[in-house]
Amino acid sequence: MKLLSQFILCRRVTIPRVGTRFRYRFVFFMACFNLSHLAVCAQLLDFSGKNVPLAVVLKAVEDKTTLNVFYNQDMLAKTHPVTIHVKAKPIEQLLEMAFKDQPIDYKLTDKRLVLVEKIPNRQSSMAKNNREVSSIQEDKVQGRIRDVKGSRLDGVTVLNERNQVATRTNADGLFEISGRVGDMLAIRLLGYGQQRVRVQKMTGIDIVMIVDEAELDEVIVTGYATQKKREITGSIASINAEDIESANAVTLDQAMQGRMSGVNVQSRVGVPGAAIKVEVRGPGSISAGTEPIYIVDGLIVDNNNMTTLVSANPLANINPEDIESIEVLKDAAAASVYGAQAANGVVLITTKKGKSGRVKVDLGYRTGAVKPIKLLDLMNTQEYLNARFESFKNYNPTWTDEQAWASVFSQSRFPSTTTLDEIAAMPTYDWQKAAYTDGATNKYDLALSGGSDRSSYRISGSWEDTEGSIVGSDFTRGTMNLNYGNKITDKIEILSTVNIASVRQHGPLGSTGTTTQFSAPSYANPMILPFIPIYNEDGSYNFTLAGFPGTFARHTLHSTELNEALEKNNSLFGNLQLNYNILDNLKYKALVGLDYRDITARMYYDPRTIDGNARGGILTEYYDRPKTFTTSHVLHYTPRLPDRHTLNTLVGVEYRTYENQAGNVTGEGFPNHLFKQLASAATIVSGTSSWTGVKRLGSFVQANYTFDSKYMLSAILRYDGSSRFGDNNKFGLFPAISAGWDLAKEDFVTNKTLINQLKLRIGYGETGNDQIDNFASRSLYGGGVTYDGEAGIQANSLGNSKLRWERNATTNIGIDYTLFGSRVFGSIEAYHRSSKDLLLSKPIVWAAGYSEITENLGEVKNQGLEFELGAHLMRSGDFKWTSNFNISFQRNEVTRLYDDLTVLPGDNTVRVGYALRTFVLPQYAGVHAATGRPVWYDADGNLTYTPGTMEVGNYAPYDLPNELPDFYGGWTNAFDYKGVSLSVFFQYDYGRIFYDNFARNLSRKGDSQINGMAWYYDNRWTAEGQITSVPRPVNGAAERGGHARGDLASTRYLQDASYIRLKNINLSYNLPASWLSAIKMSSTKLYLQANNLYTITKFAGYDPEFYVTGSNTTSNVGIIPAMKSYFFGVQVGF
Amino acid sequence: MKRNILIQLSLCTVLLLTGCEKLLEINPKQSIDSSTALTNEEGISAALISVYARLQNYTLYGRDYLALSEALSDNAIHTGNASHLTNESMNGRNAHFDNWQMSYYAINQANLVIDAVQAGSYEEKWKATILGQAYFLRALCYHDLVRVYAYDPTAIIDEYNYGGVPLMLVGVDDISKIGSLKRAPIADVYDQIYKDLDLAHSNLGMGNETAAPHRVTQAAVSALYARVALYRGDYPTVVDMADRTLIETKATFSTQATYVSDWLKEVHPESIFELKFNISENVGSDRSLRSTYTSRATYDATAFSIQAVVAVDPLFYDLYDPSDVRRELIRKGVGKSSTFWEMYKFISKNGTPNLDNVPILRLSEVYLNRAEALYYQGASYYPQALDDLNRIRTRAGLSEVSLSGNALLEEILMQRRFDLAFEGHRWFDLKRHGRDVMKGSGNVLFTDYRILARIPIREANADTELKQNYNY
Repeated sequence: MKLLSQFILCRRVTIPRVGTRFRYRFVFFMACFNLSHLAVCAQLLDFSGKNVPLAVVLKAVEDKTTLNVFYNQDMLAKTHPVTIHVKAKPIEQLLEMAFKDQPIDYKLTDKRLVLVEKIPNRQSSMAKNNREVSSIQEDKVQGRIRDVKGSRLDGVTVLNERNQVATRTNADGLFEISGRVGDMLAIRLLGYGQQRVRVQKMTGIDIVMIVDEAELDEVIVTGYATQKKREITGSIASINAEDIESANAVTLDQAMQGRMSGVNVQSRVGVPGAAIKVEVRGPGSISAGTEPIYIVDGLIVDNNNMTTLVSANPLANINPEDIESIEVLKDAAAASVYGAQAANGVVLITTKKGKSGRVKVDLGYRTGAVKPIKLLDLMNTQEYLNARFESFKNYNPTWTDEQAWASVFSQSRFPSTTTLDEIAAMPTYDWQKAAYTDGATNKYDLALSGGSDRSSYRISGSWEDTEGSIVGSDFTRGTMNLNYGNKITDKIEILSTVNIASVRQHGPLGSTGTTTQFSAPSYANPMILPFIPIYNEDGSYNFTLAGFPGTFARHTLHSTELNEALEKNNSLFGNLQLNYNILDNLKYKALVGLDYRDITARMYYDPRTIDGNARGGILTEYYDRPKTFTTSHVLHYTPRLPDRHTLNTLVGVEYRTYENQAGNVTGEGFPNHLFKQLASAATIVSGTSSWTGVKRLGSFVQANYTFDSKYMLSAILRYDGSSRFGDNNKFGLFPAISAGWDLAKEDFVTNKTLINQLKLRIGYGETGNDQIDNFASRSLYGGGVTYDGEAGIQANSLGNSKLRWERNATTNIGIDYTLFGSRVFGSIEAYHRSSKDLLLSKPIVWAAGYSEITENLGEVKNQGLEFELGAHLMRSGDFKWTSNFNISFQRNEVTRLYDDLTVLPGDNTVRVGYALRTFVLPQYAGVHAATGRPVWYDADGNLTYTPGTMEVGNYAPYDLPNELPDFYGGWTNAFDYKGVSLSVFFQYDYGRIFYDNFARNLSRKGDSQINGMAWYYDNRWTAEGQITSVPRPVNGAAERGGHARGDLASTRYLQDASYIRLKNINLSYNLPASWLSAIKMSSTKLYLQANNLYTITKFAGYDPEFYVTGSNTTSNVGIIPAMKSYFFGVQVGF
Repeated sequence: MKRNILIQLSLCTVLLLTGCEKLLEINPKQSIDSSTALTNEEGISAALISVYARLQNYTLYGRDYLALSEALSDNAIHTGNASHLTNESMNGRNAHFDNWQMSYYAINQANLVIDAVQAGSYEEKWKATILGQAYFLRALCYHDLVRVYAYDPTAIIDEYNYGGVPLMLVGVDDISKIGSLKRAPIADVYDQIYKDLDLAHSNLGMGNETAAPHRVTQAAVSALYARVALYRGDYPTVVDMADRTLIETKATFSTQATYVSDWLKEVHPESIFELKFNISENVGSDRSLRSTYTSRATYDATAFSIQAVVAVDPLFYDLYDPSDVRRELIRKGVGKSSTFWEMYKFISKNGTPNLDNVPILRLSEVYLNRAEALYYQGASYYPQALDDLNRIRTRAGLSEVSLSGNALLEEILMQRRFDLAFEGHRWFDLKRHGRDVMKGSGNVLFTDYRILARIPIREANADTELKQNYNY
């Protein structure tokens, strides 16, 4: 849940309409209770008005006095008009008349007029100022009010029911009120449930307030504006700082996993800071991208992964601690304000801002360890050698045992005199385990925030140093974030955010995700023959340039230690925003922003390793310098409408450019391993550079109308252009309309405490997708060809000037509910998303001089249901139990290709009537019980030893499962007892079928000179009549007679990758406020956390949770699995 | 006041949006839009260079035209050292030339150059030089296509004759310009090649022989003309064109003494048109002619390098007279190829392994073409044919012969086989004579469907007018 406490600073009184920007829930802040207001009293005012809104009075006050007026729009909305005629009267008298019988009250100081909630049963505002009079006979009761997480709460109203004296907490959450033991205090703060607390001691009263979902007017960032969650008509998922904090994730996209319905987040690889795959409501494109766009404080950030050496997450340059909230715009009704790029959803990231008040310091430190999740059970030395022996015997039935063993000995480089007894005594070396290690992690955070009534700031810095669970991987990040806001004049305010980050990552070969490199520990180690020692007796690596026996001949640990794969990502992004209040109800907001990155990477193959030896060491240096520039200009206009009607409109333009200059240089032949710079390379083997760019321009109009907070209507129109498209199709129009109806506000809902909110939403809208090559619409001549040393140019691509947007049309129906006195809350959504005009490469005849052209062809649809359910299961006394559950069901289907094709040429996994990422593979029938040979089904469903190939299509694809989940989601349970909080978070994914390509390698049980999983050895066919799915070992994997290999890519390796994972457990303790105030601290939290602690899955490989894809195949070969991590941390605020 | 501000703001917005198209203008930097790429002399020259570069592809003169012609025919055997070209050596189904894609790419590049030159106004001499080269390159590509995918006019099995190849004569820079893939009749393809060669010759004009042999010259045009006419059975033209070649060319005929050493030179003195390979233009060590033919990285190397998959058939080796100087280019390999005879015409001539310039049109072929054409024009031409034949024989260190009738033809063809061995002629020579391929790994009769290559399936699928060759 979101707790966006924003201090509202409103220089000018506006007529009480709900302003788009000024809808923050209001928490105020009054440390100056007893300040004299004599100066104000001296001012005498004239005012005359009949049935005028209260706001008009306030405006007059502000115009005619030096007072600043502070208020919350909602409060003003509840007021009724007044009739006042005064001449030369003190301001108090005017206010007294204006606020007579109003549902709200005010507070006057020498500088400010602040509108506040009415304190119950108070006779008049004068009484409040006479508080000291009645308290003379009373003692002071002192205490502190905080929320369940221990944060101080300021502006909480405290009323002593006995003497009707009221006060509010100050910035440190402290209050002081006249009273005595036995009094009943009524505690109240907007957004929290009211509490009554009996005074049992005079000081050190510690009161914890609980969020009231129904009352909380949560504010959601919806793009160019914010909106009350209660009034939103589109589909938006959001998480707040608290959720992000409790995930303790390295990158922000990780924190989204399992916490937002309809947002499927999967790791790509288990190294720290690695790239993540995010997909909102299923894949809506075949060949254009399916990732959402990311917008940080109004600035689109680059989420292209640049180099391929180390898996780097382009969002890693944002410290999750700096994030206030993440919102995902899921349906078109919400996202179409971003038009052309919004088809895959929009992720809006808002960073933390400073709040006015004295400086607040937050310090955080966490330390921990990472461990591999799971290791596979592999064959030992004896099992491997025996399997190898059997494979020779099976392949050469005429051979004697001696002949077969002789072959095994010779290829294993054993003496020919080796005996079976000697084999039985051989040790097994655990190479797999040696690839993994326990890493350490440390993170330091510091944030300073504060401000005056005209300015606010927040400066934060962080340092993180994490080692991965695979040897040679680490992640180091330093960040600095600065948020600053200042009101320059009464009308102009500037805001600025600057984020600087430096990320450094090392990885062994293959830490990009998957690999087949022989020196990659994650790939090679499970397959290195188990009788090969890892270390010599003196502890050094058992390394030889000649290599080991077997297919995997390289000492991966030696290579990893000496070679260097390093990526550095230095980034700067920031924006400057100008807010100009042209008129009371017309605001102009301008933003300019820049995201600049300097990414360099180097791959050095040390001359002492097998990888680099033959060429005397090889070094490749890469660079990428992407730059994104954004500017937007928005006008917010709130027309004056009769009571209960509110209309917010905005119109704006936005312009973005992106460019990237990239290149690499390779040199080889270094004098020795101490020289690691290109300057020392004997030969520069190659060098290249490239440049690309894109520009986008959009204009948009949005209108949100509400009547009585009961009926809501929202419309968006965006006209967007992208340079990627053809001349006549650069621009597209993206409309959206949505409506909402809160039934709970209707009179026929009689029991309003039973049904607090029941909002029906319906929306339709269109969004676009332009994630194709920057110049795909152009016919281009490229260089890079030479003849006889002369440079040539040639036509590389055939343009399509008709190329236009991929278009998504989404219909969304949703219900938001809050029931049973806010005990139960959540939402239900159903959507139908149809993606048309998909950008596809259509093969064209070579005879035309080209191989393909990008065209708008084909359709994909996604349908889904999403449920979010939250409940305060227990709220008695000090113990609170809150549970949040979400589940998303989705179905994906390709509904049309082109030219009546049912299968996409070149990719037979894309077929009409099936989901994307469908597996089309020869059908494995198992093992012939009589012969031990693998059999498949042919096209007629008969058993065969030789299934057809993909191209010919003469095998039977009976079952075409796909890689997309049937449903996924998460479940959080949070328990609070006094200062102790425990949260348990499960994440799950069901119905994902995965092609376990790594198992293909590991299933060879002696078929070739590689080690593999013991399960395959244990279950191999050994005797006639045996029923098993694992064929007998046979040298070369294929039986004689032209039979297919047993490890043929087939349905044999499809596995159910469904899982439920205990994603994290977080136990924290907030030190009691009474202790803290003694040492002048406002909060101290200690926590313990464990991530990826336990997983339930049928998947037999390393880890079911990862995402990999290629153009036509999916492979997890060499994947580095996710890691377990354990943290201890402390957060201190003062 | 308020109204004014609103009007001003709306005006600003409108102004901003009218500049839209301009704001979205962006151009790639390492590529140029095709609409502007070929609008100046430098661009067109560079585009022409890339047509030559295309010929370096391994499916064209980088390897296949030479190595496959030997592997598919009876000149070579496969060593089994690696899997490359195994199926081709066995004449497996679909294991054939696969030059369709790259040839048509080159043709389209040439078409674009021709269209661009004609669309602009350029200096006449420069324009003619460019056009001449482009027409020649287009003609060369069409001839290579038609001899692979269609029967030659001199030997056609009507039942399986589905025509020549599609004629694409317009540069495609927009999808609307893609024409039909209907196969033109064989004769039409040859007419087009003649037409291109005539244009090439007239455009190139005299005096550009300094560009020889790595750029197209008039002599190259005439030499190709002679070859094409021979395939067409248009023998008087062969003789005319051969005569014209000999007048125009500056290439020099190797002597017995220099025969072997001329093959080791970077530029073969006999080359009328030779495809050059610079260091950055190699086709890769596993595909180069050097590594395909030989187990040595250089002529003097003693260690086994890689591949060495296409070796001289010992039966063919044995046909050489022991005194034939040309046999000296055939040597035993090293390492696992030490039992195989290898052809050393392509042995790292530039001093760097895997780089070998490929003579496409060479003087000896011109004489042999003329000898054959003279023979076919009747007995009255035998003396002239014998002149050419004996020029080849004596140069090889063989005695002069005096033959007539079929014996003369067979001797001409035999000398052609000896002299042009491993240069990409044997398969086509057998095919245009309608002869069966008799080889150890299994004979391929002329009536076999495997005489013609399979048109890529994707092409035939994409355009139903394109008729696939028989039995594919």
